Amino acid sequence: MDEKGPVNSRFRFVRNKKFLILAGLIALLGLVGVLLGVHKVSKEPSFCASCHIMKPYYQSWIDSSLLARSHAEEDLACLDCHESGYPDKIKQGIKYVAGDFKEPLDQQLFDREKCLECHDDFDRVIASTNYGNDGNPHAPPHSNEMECTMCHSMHRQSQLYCSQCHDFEWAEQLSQDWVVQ
Amino acid sequence: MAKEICRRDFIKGVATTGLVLAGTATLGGCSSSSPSSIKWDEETDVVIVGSGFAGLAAAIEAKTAGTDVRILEKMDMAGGNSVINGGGLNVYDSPQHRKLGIKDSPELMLEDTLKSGLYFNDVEQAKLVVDKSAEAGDWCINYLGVKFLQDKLMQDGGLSVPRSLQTESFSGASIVNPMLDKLKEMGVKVETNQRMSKLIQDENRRVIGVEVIDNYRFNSDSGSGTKFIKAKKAVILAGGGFSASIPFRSTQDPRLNDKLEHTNQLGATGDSMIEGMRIGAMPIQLDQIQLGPWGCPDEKGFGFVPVFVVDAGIKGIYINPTTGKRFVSETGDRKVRADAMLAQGAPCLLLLDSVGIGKVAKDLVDRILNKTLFTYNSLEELASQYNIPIDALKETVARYNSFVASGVDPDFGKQNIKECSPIEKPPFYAVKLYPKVHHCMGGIQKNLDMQVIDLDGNVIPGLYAAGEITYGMHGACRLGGNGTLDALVCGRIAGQKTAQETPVA
Repeated sequence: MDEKGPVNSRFRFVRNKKFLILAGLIALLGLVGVLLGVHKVSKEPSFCASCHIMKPYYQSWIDSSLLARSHAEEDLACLDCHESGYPDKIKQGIKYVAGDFKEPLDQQLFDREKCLECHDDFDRVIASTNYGNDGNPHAPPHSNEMECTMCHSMHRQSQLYCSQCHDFEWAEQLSQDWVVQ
Repeated sequence: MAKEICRRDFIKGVATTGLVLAGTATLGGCSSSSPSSIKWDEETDVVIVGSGFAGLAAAIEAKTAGTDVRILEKMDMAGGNSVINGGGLNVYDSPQHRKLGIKDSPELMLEDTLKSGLYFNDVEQAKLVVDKSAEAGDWCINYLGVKFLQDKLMQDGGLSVPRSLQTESFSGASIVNPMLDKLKEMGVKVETNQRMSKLIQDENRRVIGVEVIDNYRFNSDSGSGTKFIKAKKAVILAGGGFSASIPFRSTQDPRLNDKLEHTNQLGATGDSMIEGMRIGAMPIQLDQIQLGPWGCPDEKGFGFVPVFVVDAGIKGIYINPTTGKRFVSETGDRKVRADAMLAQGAPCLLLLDSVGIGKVAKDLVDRILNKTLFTYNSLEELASQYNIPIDALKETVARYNSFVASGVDPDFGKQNIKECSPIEKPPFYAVKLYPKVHHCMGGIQKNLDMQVIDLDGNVIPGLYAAGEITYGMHGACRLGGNGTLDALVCGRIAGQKTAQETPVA
């Protein structure tokens, strides 16, 4: 008993209930703080780029002439398009650590509805590319509902799908970020 | 079990938090294992492979009969070749026939089809499709609401009378889009970027489903993994032909190498036909591959010139620039004209004068004028542009004009010479023509219920096919306007028949 005396006296405050509650609260606040920090940091594109396979995508967002950059200039970041919950994120993290991924990654295709969430005035888009007899890439005669991603890419060169079969004068004015066949 | 071995879930949230993302591991070497061990990811009644005329017609009919369908399309968009075709549909009777007073009949239409096909046709299939042609036209007009030209029927070479309903847009998209709209109303959407990679059969050889590559991108990557879709009633192969596959087509016909262009969408590589043959479907006449004699080397792919030529070709003359002479009947069918053009060894010119061009639909002229169709103030100017011997050219034109006056073409037997006008009034119009690989008349064998037939002549249970993927009515030469018809009629039958199948457990 005597041997335990000094120990007991040194840590006597541990038995103090008020102290325990206070310590618990501090720990909890700390944990919440850390989680909030992680939550905030994990939304930053630079955080995405901490995995090596993401670097080209990040680069296209931070500094390029590609569409990812023009979206960045409108204050859009990775998660604005690439929405995913924590279960997905954790699953992806595990796959990364396990090396269970393709490199480079497959191009992800979004439905046109995703683009139209922001580009909602599609009539204006159509009107902006009306070249009369030389066609309109946003109102092709072949389809009412072509997917945006058939031509437009965010992180790589876009490609003029119509140019597989057609030549257009306006296509000659497209920037070098377009592949025209 | 195959699922566990082959499939890797693709994480859809690419590029999210930096915690990574993942794709697939290798897919190679996976086999579908035994059918009883397959863990189906999804199921439906009828899986349709391909979303052109045949696939969509099948889907509409099956769905109308209360059967669930899934339409798988490997490319980025629905419609296949059907959305880039010329929009002609052959029928022996229509409101336009009656309005224009055109006398046609199933017998004449069948005769044209068989004659042009050099009697290589499946006669029963041809008869079936021809007999149902007027009904198919009516279905397009009254059920789908397709807008055809009201006052005109087209007459491509090989047709005895004007017979082709022509969409106002001069594109098959005007038939495809109303079909897609109908399907949307029924709650069916074409699933793009889904490539059927295997047909799955049970122990009794019945086709019970498909293996599909998910998120497939043509010519880009291999997709994000495979999934298995059970088809309780049937699988319909409607994946089209293989004109865009140089290796496959040149294996069948060595002349069709990479020197020849084609008119098809790039995905016309015959994948689903080959998978059908892999499980035993009978291949027939795969070397009967049509060349389009209205191809223009001055534009890509199918382009705009073919539709112009369907209207304008029989109103003008074809000239070999080297000789300055005609070399074929301008009303010859596609095979006759294409073979003659190939024999010349270089592009020819279709020549019209201002009177002839005035009889061609103005839209068609406007679309190509000064791009591929050029004007010349005199025959001398034309001759100088293409190094044509001028004396020979003048003699050819004078000779042709004398045939127009007499109403008989003793040189080549141009069928409509009596309705033609002489080529004499400037300006003159010329467009370059050279054959392009266009359509596969051969394919896998089917019966009149569109069930696929195997090498022993037996039905492969649960497997149907329709459209260009099959051998059927065309024989050695498909008449313009018959391809759309065949796909619509046979697709509809396939949809109706699969709906009547007894579902597997």
